[in-house]
Amino acid sequence: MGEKIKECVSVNLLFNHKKRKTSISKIIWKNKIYDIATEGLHYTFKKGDTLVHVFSVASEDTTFKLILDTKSLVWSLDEVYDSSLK
Amino acid sequence: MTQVLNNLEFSKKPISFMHIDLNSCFATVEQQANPLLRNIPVAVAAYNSPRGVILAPSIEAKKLGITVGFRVSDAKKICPDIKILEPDTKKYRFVHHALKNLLLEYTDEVNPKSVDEFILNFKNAPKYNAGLINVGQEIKDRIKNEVGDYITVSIGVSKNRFLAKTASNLKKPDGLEIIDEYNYKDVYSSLELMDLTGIAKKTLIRLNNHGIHTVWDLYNASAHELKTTFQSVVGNYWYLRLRGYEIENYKDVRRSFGHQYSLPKPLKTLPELTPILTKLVEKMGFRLRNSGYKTQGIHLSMLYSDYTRWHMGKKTKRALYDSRDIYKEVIKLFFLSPQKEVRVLGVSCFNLTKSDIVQLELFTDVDKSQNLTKLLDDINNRWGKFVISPASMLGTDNHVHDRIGFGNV
Repeated sequence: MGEKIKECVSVNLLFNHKKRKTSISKIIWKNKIYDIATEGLHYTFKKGDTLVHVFSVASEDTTFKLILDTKSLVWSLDEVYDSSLK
Repeated sequence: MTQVLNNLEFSKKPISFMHIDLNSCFATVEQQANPLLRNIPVAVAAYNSPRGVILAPSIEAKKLGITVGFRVSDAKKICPDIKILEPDTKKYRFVHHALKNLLLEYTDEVNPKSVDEFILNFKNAPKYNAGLINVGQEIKDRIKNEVGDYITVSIGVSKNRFLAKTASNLKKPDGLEIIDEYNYKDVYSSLELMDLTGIAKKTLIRLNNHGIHTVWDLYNASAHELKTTFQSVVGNYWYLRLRGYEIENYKDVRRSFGHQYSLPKPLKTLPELTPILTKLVEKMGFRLRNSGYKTQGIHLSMLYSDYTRWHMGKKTKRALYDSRDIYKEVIKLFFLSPQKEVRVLGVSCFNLTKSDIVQLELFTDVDKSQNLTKLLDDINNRWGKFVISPASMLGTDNHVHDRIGFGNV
């Protein structure tokens, strides 16, 4: 129900070695920086023989569905949900 | 046997079964993934269109009276602001496997009943001595910490699978309940007959006709009375089940595979229906072979634009393995059907046998055929579904999407 985007984006990915947890802290999309406040769900699936990581994360009022292709190491923004829009 | 069962008391054996049910699975997983959808009415529907059928309303939507099976248009009459999403099966399967791996740390007897239900047997499991209520609470806490903080489960523990499931239904969402020899009377007094799994309208009428109107009546009926009521050994099963004795066949035996698809627009002729029919058969054949089976029974069903239904099944002389052979049998059935506009198309196979049993044939090189099919499956497994597919399936990329059927994963 979000808006399909399918554009490359810049992502700040942090790995905390003490907690052994990976999290996204920032996204840069259309020259705007979004600070990520909440991680919703991180899951993986196979596309052919490529492992794909999906991160569903949210800033204050927008949820982003980010995809990392582990073959090309490219991050893309698959979908955006903005709660301020009806 | 019925005589032996008379006057049997509620079982005093230790509690070893746990039933876990993910609350409003699809919708909750969507709310987990998208924090902005939490605490508001949400529903996952087969299609986000007015006639789309709701597969999973969120806990908030259920409180408004929206249930599985509602049309999207009817749900929006109750709650105009309800958010409707189409299924994202990759998410649900991932959560299912994450949950299953967590549960396997507690016992190796974890039996998934569907994408959102598990039954665990703790007999001989090391964690057993901690007490299953404590274990249940630990599992709930770990799910929140390790799988998703918005995901809740209802857990029931008891002496058999049936009562463990009954206990899990006592409190939804986020329950943790027990049925044992100390509280079964109170529990049975609080339930209606149709609250029990396995009792629907027909069985309710049958029970009422024999003077059984409550769960407590059912429990107090003798084994002989129940055998008379059900006119079969099923009566004995109910007698034992309600007393905490295990009678379920826990060996899951696969009986059929099938796929069904609601067409975006009605189609009538075989050339029009061929691509979708081919895809349904390919999907079914793939799952059949992947699960290690062959089939000797094919079934075709159609729902028409005039809302009439036609279906036919037939047993085949030889065991079928290759989707092309299955498709040939499906087409034979199709030519026996009324030629009307089709709205819903379904294929299934039954009469399954394990595929490691090879029946040699006189005029067909069975080994060569099976080897080729296996090779094609291996390629599709590695590079993606339908990387290699029949030409007759061209143009179906946006049809017959990946779905999780009820009772499946």
